[in-house]
Amino acid sequence: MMEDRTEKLVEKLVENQDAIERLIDKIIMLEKTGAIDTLADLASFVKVAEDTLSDEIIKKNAELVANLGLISAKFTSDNALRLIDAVGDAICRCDKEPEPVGVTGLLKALNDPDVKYALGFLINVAKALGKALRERA
Amino acid sequence: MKRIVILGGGVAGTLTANYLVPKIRGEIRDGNVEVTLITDRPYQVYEPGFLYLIFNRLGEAELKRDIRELLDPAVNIVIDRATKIEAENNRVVTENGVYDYDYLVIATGARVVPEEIPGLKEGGHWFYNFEGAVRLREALAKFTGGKVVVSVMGVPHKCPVAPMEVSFILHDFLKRRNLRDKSEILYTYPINKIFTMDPVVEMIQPMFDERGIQYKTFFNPLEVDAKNKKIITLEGEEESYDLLIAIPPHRGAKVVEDSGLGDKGGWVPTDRYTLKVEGYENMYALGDATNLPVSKAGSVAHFQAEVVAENLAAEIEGIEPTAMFNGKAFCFIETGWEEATYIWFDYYTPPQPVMPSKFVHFVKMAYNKAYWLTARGLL
Ligand SMILES: Cc1cc2nc3c(=O)[nH]c(=O)nc-3n(C[C@H](O)[C@H](O)[C@H](O)COP(=O)(O)OP(=O)(O)OC[C@H]3O[C@@H](n4cnc5c(N)ncnc54)[C@H](O)[C@@H]3O)c2cc1C
Repeated sequence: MMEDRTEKLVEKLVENQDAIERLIDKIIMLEKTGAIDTLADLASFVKVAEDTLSDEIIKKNAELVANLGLISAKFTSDNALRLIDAVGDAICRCDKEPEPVGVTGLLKALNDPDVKYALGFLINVAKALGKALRERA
Repeated sequence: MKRIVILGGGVAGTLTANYLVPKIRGEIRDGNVEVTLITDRPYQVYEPGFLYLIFNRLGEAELKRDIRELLDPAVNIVIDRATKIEAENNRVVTENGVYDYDYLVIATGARVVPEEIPGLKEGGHWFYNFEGAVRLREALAKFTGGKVVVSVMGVPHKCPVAPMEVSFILHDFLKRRNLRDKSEILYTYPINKIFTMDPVVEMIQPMFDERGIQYKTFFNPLEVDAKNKKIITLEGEEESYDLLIAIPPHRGAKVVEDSGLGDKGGWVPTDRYTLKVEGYENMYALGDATNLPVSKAGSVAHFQAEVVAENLAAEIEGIEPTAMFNGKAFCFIETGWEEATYIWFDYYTPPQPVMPSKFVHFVKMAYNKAYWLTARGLL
């Protein structure tokens, strides 16, 4: 019985000699560089993940990533990126404390060429937004 | 102005649009090119999810997504059913309009035709479309034991590995419900082995044996006797069943057949490397719609979309199109309720499955939710 098993084992080793030699070289390299300890740690990490995660958790997280990804794809398309970049600059540069503005204040602000330009942008966005909302209605 | 029309809003059409548009965004903005995608429903369906829906592991709403969420905003979307492709006039006729094109991409997919096996609609179930999957979910929930036959009734069919997967998951499903001892599972396949690819057979067949999943090969159903619950085959066999899960025959899209562009199965004759429709310089076909001897799988549509988008963009820019499809396919294979393996292969490389593991199953579970990022061209 024992001999039978040994014989089979030897047969397998001979059959796969090339693969086993390559494997041994790799194991030696991993051991010498210390990478084998990292691999063992990694395996434990994957094992903990496997043992504690569930289909439900995986689904929830993947859904979150998918939704964020779909939205971010729109915000990072080249044109949107340029405009959002400008919004970012505006927020960073705007160091004034806000003050309440009434109708008169609003009219006065409308004389400012920068405000006029920003309003043009907002109107463009409003137009496109209206269309997008109607398409989804 | 150059007009590109993409017909079909499945994996193939959506990905082609999403890969193409960023490459020619300047031309679109300048009004030199228009990309229009015509599809007959306002949402996309994630079909691989049907395999989970039938065991109530994913719900209907999780398998659909508004096509607008998935497409680059520069794509002109038309929700309408195409009735005819007039290749000689370079235009597509829909129920509500006519669309001229300079380039056409046919991505109309495949459809299941259970009616081609007499008695199947009355006597059997399938999970290859929404209605079928929902009906099968109900039947499985009510199943109290007996003989389940998983029968492949025609090739080619979508996702070649799905029949094996459903058998494995079913085995665990019945075990979890304490019904496995009272049940038999029989898997049937039309050719002389349980799957077309030998390395897959070598791995899967012993796994079937271990689980007591029986199989019959050279099994070509001709009709289903719904009253007596029997399958009758070309080989003259009769096989009884209590629950029949069939993989129905498939055909190409109706519009392809009606336009005289399909072969006898309704598949579009397509060059296996360039993906151009044979005989037409300005028509591409990809995804399930083609006659190519590659798997009808979303992953294939994905890899093909990269090629079609690159070549179309090159043609628009006046550059020689050089991208070629290498036959690549990737398929997960669920081998139980919570373990899976996967294969990939191409025209030159045979598949080599890895050891099934829970980890691969988790990756698939995550992908079921993250698939929409693939449609968007991000994953
Ligand atoms: C149960 C099941 C499990 C699967 N599992 C996997 C898997 O694990 N991995 C994998 O890679 N693949 C899998 N697949 C296969 C995958 O879903 C398909 O290969 C993929 O959907 C093909 O994409 P497509 O765009 O070519 O066709 P489809 O997704 O079918 O899209 C075709 C589109 O064209 C539209 N259309 C058709 N005719 C017209 C017309 N006349 N006018 C306008 N629009 C039209 C349709 O509405 C549809 O939106 C599975 C399939 C099934 C059924």
